[in-house]
Amino acid sequence: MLERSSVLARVRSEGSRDGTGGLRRLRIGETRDWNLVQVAAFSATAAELEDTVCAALGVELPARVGDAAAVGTRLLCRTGAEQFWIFTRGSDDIAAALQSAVAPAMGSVTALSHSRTCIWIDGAHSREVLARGLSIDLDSDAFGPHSFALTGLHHTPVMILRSSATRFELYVLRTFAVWTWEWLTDAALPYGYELDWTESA
Amino acid sequence: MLRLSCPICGTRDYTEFHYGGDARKRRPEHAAADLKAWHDYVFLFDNVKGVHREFWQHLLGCRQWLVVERDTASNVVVSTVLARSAVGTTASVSPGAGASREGNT
Amino acid sequence: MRSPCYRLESGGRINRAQALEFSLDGRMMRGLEGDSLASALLANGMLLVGRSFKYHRPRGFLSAGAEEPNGLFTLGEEGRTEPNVQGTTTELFDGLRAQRQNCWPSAELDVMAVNSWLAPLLGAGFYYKTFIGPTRRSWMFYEKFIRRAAGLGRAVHRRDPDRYETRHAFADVLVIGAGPAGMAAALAAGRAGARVVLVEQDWLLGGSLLWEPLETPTAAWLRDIAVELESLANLEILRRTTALGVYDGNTVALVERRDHLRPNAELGESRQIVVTVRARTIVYATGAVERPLIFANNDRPGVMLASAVRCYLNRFAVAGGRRALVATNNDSAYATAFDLAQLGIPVTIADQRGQIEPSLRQQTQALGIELLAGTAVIDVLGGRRVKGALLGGASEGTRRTRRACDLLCMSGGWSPLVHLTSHGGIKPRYCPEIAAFVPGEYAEGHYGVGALSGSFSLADAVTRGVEAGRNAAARAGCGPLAFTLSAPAAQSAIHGGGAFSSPRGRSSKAFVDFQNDVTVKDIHVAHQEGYQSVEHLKRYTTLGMGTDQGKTSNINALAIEAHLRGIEISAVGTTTFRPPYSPVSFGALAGRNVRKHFRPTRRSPLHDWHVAHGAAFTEAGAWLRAWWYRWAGPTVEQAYIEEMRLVRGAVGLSDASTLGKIDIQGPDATELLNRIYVNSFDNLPVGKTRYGVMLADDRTVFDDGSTTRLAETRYFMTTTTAHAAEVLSWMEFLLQTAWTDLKVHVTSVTDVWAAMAIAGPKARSALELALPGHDLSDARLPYMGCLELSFAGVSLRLIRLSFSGELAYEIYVPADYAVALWDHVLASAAPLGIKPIGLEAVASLRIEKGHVAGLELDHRNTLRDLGLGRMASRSKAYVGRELSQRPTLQAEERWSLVGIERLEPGKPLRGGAILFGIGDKIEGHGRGYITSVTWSTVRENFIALGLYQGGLRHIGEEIICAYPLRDEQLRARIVSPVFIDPKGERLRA
Ligand SMILES: [Zn+2]
Repeated sequence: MLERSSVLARVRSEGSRDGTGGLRRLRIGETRDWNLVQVAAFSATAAELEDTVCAALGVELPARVGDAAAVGTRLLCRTGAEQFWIFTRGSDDIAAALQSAVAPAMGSVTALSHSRTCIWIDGAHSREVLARGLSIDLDSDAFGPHSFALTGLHHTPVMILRSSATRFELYVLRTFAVWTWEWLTDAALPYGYELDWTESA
Repeated sequence: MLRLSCPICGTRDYTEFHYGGDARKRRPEHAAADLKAWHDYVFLFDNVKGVHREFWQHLLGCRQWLVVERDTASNVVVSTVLARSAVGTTASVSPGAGASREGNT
Repeated sequence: MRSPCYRLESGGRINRAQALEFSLDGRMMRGLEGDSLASALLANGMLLVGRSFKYHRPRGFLSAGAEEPNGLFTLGEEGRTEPNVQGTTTELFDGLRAQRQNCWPSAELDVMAVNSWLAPLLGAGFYYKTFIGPTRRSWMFYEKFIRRAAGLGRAVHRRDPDRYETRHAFADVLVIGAGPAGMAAALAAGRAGARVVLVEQDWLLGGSLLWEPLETPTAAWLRDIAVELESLANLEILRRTTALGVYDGNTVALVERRDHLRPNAELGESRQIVVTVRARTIVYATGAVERPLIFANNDRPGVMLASAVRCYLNRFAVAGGRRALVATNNDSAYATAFDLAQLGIPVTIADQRGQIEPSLRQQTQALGIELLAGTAVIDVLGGRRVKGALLGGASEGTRRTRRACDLLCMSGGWSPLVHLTSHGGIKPRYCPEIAAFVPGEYAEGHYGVGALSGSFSLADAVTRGVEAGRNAAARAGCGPLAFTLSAPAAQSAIHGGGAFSSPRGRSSKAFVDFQNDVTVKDIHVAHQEGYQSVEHLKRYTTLGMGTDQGKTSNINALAIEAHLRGIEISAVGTTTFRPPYSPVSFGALAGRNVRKHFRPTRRSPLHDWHVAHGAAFTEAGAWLRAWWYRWAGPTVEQAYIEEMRLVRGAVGLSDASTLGKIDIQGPDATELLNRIYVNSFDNLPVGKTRYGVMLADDRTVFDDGSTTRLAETRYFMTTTTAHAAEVLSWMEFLLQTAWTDLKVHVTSVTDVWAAMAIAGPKARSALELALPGHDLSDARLPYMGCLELSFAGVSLRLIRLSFSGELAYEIYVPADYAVALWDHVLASAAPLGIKPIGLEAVASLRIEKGHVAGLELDHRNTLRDLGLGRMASRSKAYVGRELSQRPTLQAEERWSLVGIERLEPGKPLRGGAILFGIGDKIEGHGRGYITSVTWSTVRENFIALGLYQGGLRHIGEEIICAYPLRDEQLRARIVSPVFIDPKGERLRA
């Protein structure tokens, strides 16, 4: 009865834009219907929590901060020495399951699904567009597929995840999403872009 | 531009961080009923020339508080560690051969 | 009269098939593709390019590069107008419009040349003397005249329609300068597999090799290496890009110019891009610039640096004159003489040195050049252009001769460009062999090659360039590499350093700094008046302060000063080099951080609803907040009162999503709250909410909010909108640096939850309509209670607390459902008359209730000052407790919170008004001030909150509210800050 709405609903009506030479070199859109849960341990309980999460999800956790491990449609990101962000799709919401698996003395579980909006950009020039605002090295040697970083984009916090050689996902705070969207589409102007809402049903 | 090496996230521009004050000072025990100690902690600061210990928070990254040893005269960063692991230690290294102006190693 | 300069029939790195139209002062001219604005002007016979800064002397181009002090133009029109652009570094494009500067009505006939007659008045220290001396009164008189006469170019007030961009880049090896040394370094590093960025300010690679004639081994070498550089995928070449400055962390700022692409802002194309490069290693190959010689009238149009003449000749196929005199103190100028002579231009060389290398002597003879050894230029003949020169022996008293010429090429030696290395913390070191500064000791990962290092041999440049490139790559973890590159056999082997030659006498027409019109005499005057340190000399004479930053004047000035003081140049030292290396526009620095992209805008999840339903917005920090709604009236003044009435009489719904929200979890969560809040959280049951206040370490009130216990070890905290980020950081600080033993996590969930406040006597009925089937009775959900419930499959948090003083609830809903729930509440409670209310009404309702908020929480007041003293627990420690105990903070006379009611109808109470007692003299800071004002629908009067000396001890007293900005005063009365329902019956209803 209550319908979910995207913070980018208003910009849906905006059109695609031709860039230099009348070309549309990029695709930009929003991905919806995903869940995010943060799991964190206290320093003394880090190993215990990792075991618990591994057992609950049946996966190996990525060892390095900045690495993500994909398991089916789940993506596990190590965001700190004792902290993970876990993305899942659709009805696969594991927050409640983790909440019951992780005892309060072991760590915390916080559902963050609604806190962020996922804007994606795809195309051979996507890296160039992002380099106009992101001050981290996006070279594929340093930041290949399944790499992510928590950093800033145009004065606001962002989690950037590289989902393929040419595609990046920006998880921006929901309340800054329109600001970031306006910046991103403006930065992409000379390249031209096609807006793509197929992932935002 | 000052670049700081977050032990969690790697080297980033200082604009991702937030300066948080003098890390050489020890905060008095929470329940300490010692007006003088609190006064000195809150109001008295040294203006250090040379290697200084500072708190910085990686605000746009992992949100961890760090202890950064920075030479206030040259802006050379000598060391960066998590505040959690640094609190209570007072080790201070003088900038020498190891201190480089490097950006992103 | 025939112009001395002209385009040659053949040669040059220009495209004769592609003519470009441009204009100077509205006059149409033609140039060729590959021309600079300077070369195109010279090809058109334009020798006079402007008037000098102070004396309005006629000036021509001195150089062909970024060191140019004279040839500055204003480019573009209207919003695109850009002053002080060097003609020498501007690539000509079709349609370029240039104007000469500093001359009126025209460069040829300049009224301001009268300044030349005032020259004795405008000497060293002129500005200081007029400002501080006995002539200060006359400054008032002369200022207008001087302001019009002085200054370089003029900015416009229109908006620049062009777009500018910024971008971030990373490199293993950043090579600055693409002369032979830089290209060799880039190639070696690139071959070793490093990520290389090669930066060149010119539109062509080659540096000084571009001055060599075509069809030479050097030119062929240049072509080959350029092709090879282009072929490397890991090497990025940035042409038309200037390195502006080197900063901490190996960060280098570049500006890339794209005018040649005719960028279209409509398509998002940028005119200039500032690139911030974070480099693992830096190879500086910035080269050197030639120094002028100092003699009387050395600024006449037609007097040029010898290397510039050669550049115009071979690169642009432009001859600078028809009869040349080459004045030098070193070997390098001979190359210019030879190239001129080979074209059949008669050349005389006046070499200050007595001893000339025999091979050079032979070549001069073979080419029919007249060589005068031990001879210097003493004066230049001619006014608006060179007509000849007066020559004399290198020592005083020798016989003087004249030579007719229309081109005077001078070389006073070469100065390495140590600007960027100096930015990078590498102190310049004086090198007496070349009479110039070279970079001192390099930090690790920094390398200097080519002419910058003080060695002017091409073979050296290439060998050391390769070595530096290889080392830089190795340091970045690339290589090893076996790679050699041999230098071309070139004429440039005769590059020489050149010592400084001291000028004769103290001529007031021998220029040291051309752009700022500083002469030898000015330096003498400054010296005599005691300004002898270089930093003083610079500021007193303005030497080196122009847009060229003294690139051609620095060493000559230092040498004169050293001579006057009788010490070595190394002892004089040099002034500090600071970014930018060459001028950069504000537009480029601002990039796209303009207009709506200027600073972050934060929008509530309900933002679009507010837009669609007639809300007016106000900025609160980064947030855009719904201020008032048009249903309530046409203006904010009318609307907020209507909205207040709705809440007091029925029910209103407001967006509270901007509140900071923090999830607190862990076994020590309660302990954390006990420590940071002044009040205790020990006995708060699950499902209950408590209002809390926190202090800063210095005892001032920091923030307030409500915290709800969701479970034994889990709390949901809210903070004020303004301090949300600070409160989170503060708790993280305490937990990570001091209270590391506490097991508790704090996470911002501000963006997870949208919040709406429903307030008014009908609030419960409205909620019951919206959430049928849920028991919302006072027993089930009492004041300060919390209910977590599921509605239509969505988890909601219902917290019963009140900001307005009415029966009220806050509803927290996952952000994606905010609009749907908001619509649902409004629709289902419509029979009760519910409407949305904005921030203005909410903020006014809280004033009536006497709730302190941001305007009172100004980081100065104590708990007691705000009437919250009783909240502080006596049984536990809390942040800020000890410093709260200081005696002065207990003083009865501190300014503390009061209510204020207006006594004079018709006059407005104003926020910020200063409060006085009756009989006080109305001046100074008074006894307090008003923090917040509103119209009260309950009192039908203006009411306010404020801080007043002695606070509520003065209740009932009359005061004066003064507002000096509008010269207003009105009487008011101190009352309780709680204007409605002091017993709290409404909110507990
Ligand atoms: Zn970090």
